[in-house]
Amino acid sequence: MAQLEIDNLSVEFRTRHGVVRALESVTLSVARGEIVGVVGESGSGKSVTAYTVMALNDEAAQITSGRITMGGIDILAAQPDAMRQLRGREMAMIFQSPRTALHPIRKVGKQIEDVLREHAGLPSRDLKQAAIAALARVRIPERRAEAYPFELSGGMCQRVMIAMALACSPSVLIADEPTTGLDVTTQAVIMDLIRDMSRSARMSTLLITHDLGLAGEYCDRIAVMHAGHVVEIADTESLFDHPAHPYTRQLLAATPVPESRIETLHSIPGQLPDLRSTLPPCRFSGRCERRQPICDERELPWTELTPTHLVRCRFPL
Amino acid sequence: MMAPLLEARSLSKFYPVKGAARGAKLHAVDDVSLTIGAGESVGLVGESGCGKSTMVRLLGRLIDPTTGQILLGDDDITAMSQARFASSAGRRRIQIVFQDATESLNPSFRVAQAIADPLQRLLDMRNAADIDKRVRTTAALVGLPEELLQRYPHQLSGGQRARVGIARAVAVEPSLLILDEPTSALDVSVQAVILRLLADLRDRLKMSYLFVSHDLNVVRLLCSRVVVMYLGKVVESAPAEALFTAPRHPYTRALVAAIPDPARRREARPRLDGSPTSPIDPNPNACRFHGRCAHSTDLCATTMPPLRAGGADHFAACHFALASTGGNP
Repeated sequence: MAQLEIDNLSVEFRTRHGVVRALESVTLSVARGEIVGVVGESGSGKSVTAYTVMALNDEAAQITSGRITMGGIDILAAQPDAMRQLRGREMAMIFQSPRTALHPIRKVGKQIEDVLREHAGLPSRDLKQAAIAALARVRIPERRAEAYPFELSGGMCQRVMIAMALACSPSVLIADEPTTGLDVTTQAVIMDLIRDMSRSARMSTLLITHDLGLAGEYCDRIAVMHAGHVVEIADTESLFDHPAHPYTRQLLAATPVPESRIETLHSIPGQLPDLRSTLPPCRFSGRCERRQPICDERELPWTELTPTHLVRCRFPL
Repeated sequence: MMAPLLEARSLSKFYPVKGAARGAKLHAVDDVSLTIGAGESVGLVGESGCGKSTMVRLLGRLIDPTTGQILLGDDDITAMSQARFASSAGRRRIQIVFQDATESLNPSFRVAQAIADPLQRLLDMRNAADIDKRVRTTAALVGLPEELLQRYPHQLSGGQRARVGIARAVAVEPSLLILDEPTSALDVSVQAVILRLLADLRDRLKMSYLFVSHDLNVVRLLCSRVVVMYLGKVVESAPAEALFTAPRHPYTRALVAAIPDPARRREARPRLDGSPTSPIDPNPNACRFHGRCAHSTDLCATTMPPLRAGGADHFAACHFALASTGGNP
């Protein structure tokens, strides 16, 4: 059994303007030591997936079906206190916006000490050194431990948060756009660190990113999401070499790579459908050039192209 | 070599530092010379804190340089203060597209007003019918549907807001457009559309671009020449292909090696260690990259390397910028 398993997860948001079907039948797993990427446009459900796993969703969120287990523990059935214990020690999350995720009027070194005291059970005299060591791993010099978040650049705050997430060596890491806003050189160092921890400490990482290049370099497997559905999931090589879902192919064609030419860079026609409306079985059909009447009529099956490559499309490429 | 449209000569911008020793200065941009040819697209890259944004503000004439000159054609546009430049005839010749269209658009202006504003201020257009006509042609030029002209920024999608930001800048037909991370807030699908729009506008309006981005693949797509900055200095300048395939400066090599590339995922690549030295009163006699560079010698600690030609239109500021160590590090 995989370390993290998301099985048939559906999440809705009850809003004043209707029910938003944010996730539908999302199934994903991350084995020990594995890095699984989740890619897709804004609004595809990447972050909702992350927040649901961490049980940090908004009160408007209703889990209508599915099961999430971590190391065999049923997360959705866990009591809030038990979840609190799991978060930080067993599972940690790197949030998208470090400025709002950090405590604004507590020194960053102290904030890391808080995490270590709460979750790692370190004696007080060792806390400071451990916090400094955690900061050093993300290349933040010791003197910065005394800084408040507002005294640091956005990139520095990001690294503080990454240090905090990795401080207790969690067994599951949910990284929601962990390197957005960081320089490529820093991004490379941080991602190398996450990869090293995944390999050496057998940490399971769910990497949520809009950057296909980043996912392609660091992930073992990649799930492509569109409008709340996982539409394709494959080992990284297969996904890049033989994308099977029309959306995946368009996403790849829209991503600049070193060989790209401006003439060959494609955009993706259309927009995400309104998730409050009645949706067809395939939520991509409105944007798809291969659409047939049957796509809007019958339930969408998963097609297994190889044991490690699944696609949710009736007419895969 | 194209006729220069804009030439920056020994441009510097120093800021006083609060709380540091008396007279201490932060060297945001330190003695940078740069030319942008007519119709040329120049990319400006480097880590945060390298002086990119200060360069954008200097070349966009939003701040005054500490020393140095900026020539636009034959005019020295640094001869008058920034405040006077803002209302001068030169203002319309250099326009800026800012990073975040959401934050740079006036939330209480409808799209049509946002585009009309620079026409009224900089071209002194008064006739409502003329302005309306020009707003519509500009909107059409950037692919903004007419029905959006009466909307407010918060009623637009990210891609539409980006188009408004571009429309505002090109409405006055500038000769130089400075683009400061124009697509960093957009999804790839929308980014692709905006990048193609920018390439298309450049050809149609014969503008020069200064393109600042942290996404090196995007820079490579759009720019013919790339300038790399490190701690306030230009460390390398070269035609885009040469810069990406055969970088000369060790810093550029590290930068290029850090671009995520699924095709090279199994390769171990060199990583840049440490962080830049302090930009406050840096040692004028040492290479700025000294201390972080794997090739550092005593010479690097005692002599600042000048920018030297190392190939056709290829300059690098390194004592050991050897072509043979270029390519795949």
